[in-house]
Amino acid sequence: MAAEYYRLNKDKVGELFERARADYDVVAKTRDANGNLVYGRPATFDDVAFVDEQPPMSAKAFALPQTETLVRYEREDEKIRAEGPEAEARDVLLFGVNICDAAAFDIIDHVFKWDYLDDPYLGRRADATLFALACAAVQQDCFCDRISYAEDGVDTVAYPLEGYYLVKVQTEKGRKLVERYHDLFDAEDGDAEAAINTFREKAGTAKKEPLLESARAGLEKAFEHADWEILASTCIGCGICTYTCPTCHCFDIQDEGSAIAGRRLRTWDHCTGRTFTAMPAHQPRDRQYKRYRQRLLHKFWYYPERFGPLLCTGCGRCITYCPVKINIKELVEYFGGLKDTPPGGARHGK
Amino acid sequence: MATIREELQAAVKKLFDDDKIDYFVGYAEDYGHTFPAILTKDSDPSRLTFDRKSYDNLANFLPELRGSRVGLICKQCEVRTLNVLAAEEQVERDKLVVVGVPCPAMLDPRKLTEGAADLDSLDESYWQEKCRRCLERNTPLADVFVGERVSTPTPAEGWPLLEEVEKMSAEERLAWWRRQMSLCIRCYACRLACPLCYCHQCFVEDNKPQWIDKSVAPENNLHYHIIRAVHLAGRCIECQECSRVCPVGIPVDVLNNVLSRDFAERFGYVSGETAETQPALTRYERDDKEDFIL
Ligand code: SF4
Ligand code: SF4
Ligand code: SF4
Ligand code: SF4
Ligand code: SF4
Repeated sequence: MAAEYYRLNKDKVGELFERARADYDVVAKTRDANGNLVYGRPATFDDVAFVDEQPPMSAKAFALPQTETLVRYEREDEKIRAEGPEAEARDVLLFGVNICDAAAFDIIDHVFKWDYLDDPYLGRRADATLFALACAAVQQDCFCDRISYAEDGVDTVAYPLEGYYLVKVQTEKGRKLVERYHDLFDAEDGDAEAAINTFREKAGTAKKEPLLESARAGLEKAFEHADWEILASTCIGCGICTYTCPTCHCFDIQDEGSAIAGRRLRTWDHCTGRTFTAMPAHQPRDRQYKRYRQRLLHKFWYYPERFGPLLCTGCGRCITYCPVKINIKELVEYFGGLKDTPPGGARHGK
Repeated sequence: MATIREELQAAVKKLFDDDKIDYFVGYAEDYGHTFPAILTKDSDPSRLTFDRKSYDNLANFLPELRGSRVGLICKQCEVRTLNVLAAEEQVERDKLVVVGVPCPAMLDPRKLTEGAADLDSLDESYWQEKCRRCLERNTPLADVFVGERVSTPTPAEGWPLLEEVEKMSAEERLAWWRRQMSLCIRCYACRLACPLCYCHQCFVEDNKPQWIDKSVAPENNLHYHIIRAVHLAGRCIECQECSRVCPVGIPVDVLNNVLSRDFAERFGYVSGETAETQPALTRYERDDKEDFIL
């Protein structure tokens, strides 16, 4: 659909949240027991953090939970009863999600509907409405300005302008949301796209050349580059980068319980870990730097080769929360030939 | 006067020029962060630094470089780690060149707000807790020492966060831990950042038998943390890396602190205190307290 533009008064956001709770399962940013920002289910608008700051964990868990039961089984004499997956509350509204989190869903949809249709994921995805809040300033380590991912699948985006939010509606789901609470929205009659462009220039989120997509040709020649070993050997293999990442989507399948009763579940897994794929086969990457290389190349070469978009929205979490501050952007630029100096100055050979 | 940065870079260059080492493990500053870097003789040492954000326990990178000659920046934390690793026969000391530094005390990243003022001037209230208890700010046993020696303040008494947790009633404490554990994403970064969690096969990865369930749930998470804490009893050197790296801010080291404090109070034992310190659980002395043994 062609985009539509509305104004939402800043003092109406609370009302929108409260009213939406009657119709949707509303997920928004809030603070956890340690005061950290998280996507959760705050009960009132007072507990909502309607801010552009990123929570450490991305929003992907609402389509791909960290642990999910696929089937439960129980044995009675010779009969086995199996059921699952569990039915879930539907119609989630992700309220005030960052664009880099919201846009990630369109990117990973490809793999979940590629050969096998992943019903649990696709079901949750189909029923989720995205109400994104644009960042007024770039965050600590992010680089969304260097990746040209599509944002037109994000149902609505609210741009915080002077005194009001300029709300851009991009999909039917977004239109349904605005129609439901139409009395809260006013028509926008100015040049909305121009206002958005000015806002993004100022925020630092307007796209800048050279885009990281242009590193691909260099990366395809860099698999055997001697410096992987030295630059990626500080990786400790924790997987914080993948677990906090909005686009990483690998999982493991595990059984819990006994021969009498139990469940089969899936949990997040990560290619940087030493036991990745060890359960069904073995871990083919025998050194840590190779496991890190897999992560980077999957995102910037293999995934775009198969599906088109980069498997990254430039949210920067994998840098901010990496214990050893490995910087994926710097490494893509270096191995992709956009930059001559390796991060930190480490080189293996001439 | 040369800055510590310049002295360090010159020292590293000399170690490579004199063919004393194959790798140098230190900290580099780039793109707004200080982070661990492994350098070879072909690397550019001009980004090497030692500042108040030189957090990582660099001894953690030694297993990856086993067999090579390594130059390693060592703060007190790394020295204590090396002492434990040596006692456990995990390190080839003759292949190591210990580069000593005067430690300015590390700043707790969670207390630093963005754009904080001059980092060098931040006082004790910004330090990592371990730095208040530091035994020696100038690297003991350094093969090479760079920078000006500093004085070590008298180590502070007490374990503030642990004491806060212990003040709670049993129910409150359990609720507190459950809340913390409900945040854990089981990335195991606490284990992987720990230089003393070096087992090739960790109980968390076994599945025959499966010691802990893989699903992420408070009780499974707590189960993981308790077993890990016990595996570090009398070994943990309180570098706080486990807590620092946690992406969701769980103060993991409080569990380890309970054991460290008990070892200190009951046996006067400080893990990795000197090169001669033997692992606590392999030592026996006739006057060891036995009042807790039933
Ligand atoms: S890149 Fe960083 S966050 Fe990712 S596995 Fe390695 S150490 Fe952990
Ligand atoms: S790879 Fe890093 S920057 Fe890219 S989406 Fe994932 S966490 Fe964000
Ligand atoms: S980068 Fe690794 S964990 Fe992330 S999706 Fe790719 S293979 Fe999976
Ligand atoms: S680092 Fe934190 S989140 Fe990760 S396993 Fe340890 S306590 Fe859990
Ligand atoms: S348990 Fe934590 S504090 Fe103790 S040595 Fe390991 S990382 Fe350091």
